[in-house]
Amino acid sequence: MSDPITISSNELLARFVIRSSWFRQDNTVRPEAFMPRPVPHLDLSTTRRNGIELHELWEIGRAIAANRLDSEKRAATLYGRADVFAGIFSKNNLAMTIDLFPKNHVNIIGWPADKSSLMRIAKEIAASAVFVPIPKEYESQ
Amino acid sequence: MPMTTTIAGPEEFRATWFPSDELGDVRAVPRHHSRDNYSLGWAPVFDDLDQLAQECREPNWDGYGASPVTAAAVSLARQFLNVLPVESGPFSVGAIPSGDVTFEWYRSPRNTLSVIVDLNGQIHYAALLGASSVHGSEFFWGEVPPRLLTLIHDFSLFRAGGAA
Repeated sequence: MSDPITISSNELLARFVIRSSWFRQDNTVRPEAFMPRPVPHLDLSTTRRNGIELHELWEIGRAIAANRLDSEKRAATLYGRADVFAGIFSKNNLAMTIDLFPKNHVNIIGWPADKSSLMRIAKEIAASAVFVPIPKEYESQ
Repeated sequence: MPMTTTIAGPEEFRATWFPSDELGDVRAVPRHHSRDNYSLGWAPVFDDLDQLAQECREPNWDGYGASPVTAAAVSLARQFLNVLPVESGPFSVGAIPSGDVTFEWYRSPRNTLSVIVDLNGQIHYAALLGASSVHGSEFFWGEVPPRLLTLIHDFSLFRAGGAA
C-alpha cells in the first residue's frame, strides 16, 4: 500500500455506480455505494477527476462494469457515477492513497472496523454525493 | 457528535436495554409482530430480497471485489423482516461488500436510517437525523432491539401519518 497523500478538499472524486440499488428514484445516492470492500483490507475505490478527460473517466467506469459479471456471465450496466468532494473523506478521518493503475485511481483507507461506524460514515458521504447518470453518448462505445 | 452503542453480551444487553425506567417507552412502540409478514402485504420486500440474493450470489457482484451474499445471510435477513412490526414500512433492501444484507428507511439524504443484518448475529444500525447522527450494534435475539425499534418507528409510514 502506498503512503497517504493530500488531495485538496475541493477536488472531486468519482465512485462509479454499477448497481441500480445504489441510487434512489430522486437521483440521490444510497450509502451502500460508499461502503468499503472488506478484503484484503477496508478500502473504497474512487477516481480522481482532475487531469482526466470526460471520455477517459467514463471509459474507466465502463471497464469496472465489464469486470463485474453476473451469474450468467454478462457484464454489469454502468448507471453513472457519484461525485463527492475529497474533503468529505478527511472530515470523516479517512485517508487517501493513489495507485498507478487504473489511471487517477484513489483508494480511501483508514476505515473503522465496526460496521455501524462504517455505515454512519458511508451515509455522511452519500448525503454529500451528487449522482451523475451516464450520458447517452458514453453508454456504449 | 455521533452516539455509539455497542453491547457485549446477553447479560449486558438485558441490563442496558430493559431497565425498569425504560420499559414504558419500549412498550409504547407498536409491536404487532408477525411470523409471516409476507402474507401481510410485504411480498414486494421479500421479492426484492430474493432478487438481491440472485444478483449478489457471486463474488465481485459490485465490480469492486465484494463478497457474495450467501443463503445464510438471506435467511437471517428474512428472519429480521419477519419480526419487524407490520407498520414499519416503507423501506428498501440492499447489500454491502461484506456480503451482509441491509435495509434503509429514507426521507431525505440527511434523514435516513440503515440497518445491517450481520451473519455473526449482530444488528448494526446508523441514522442521520439532520445535523446529528446515531449508530450502534446489538445482538439479534429474534426480536428487533428496542432502541432500533424506536428509530424504525420514527421513520415508518405509521409515524409519518401516511406520508412516504
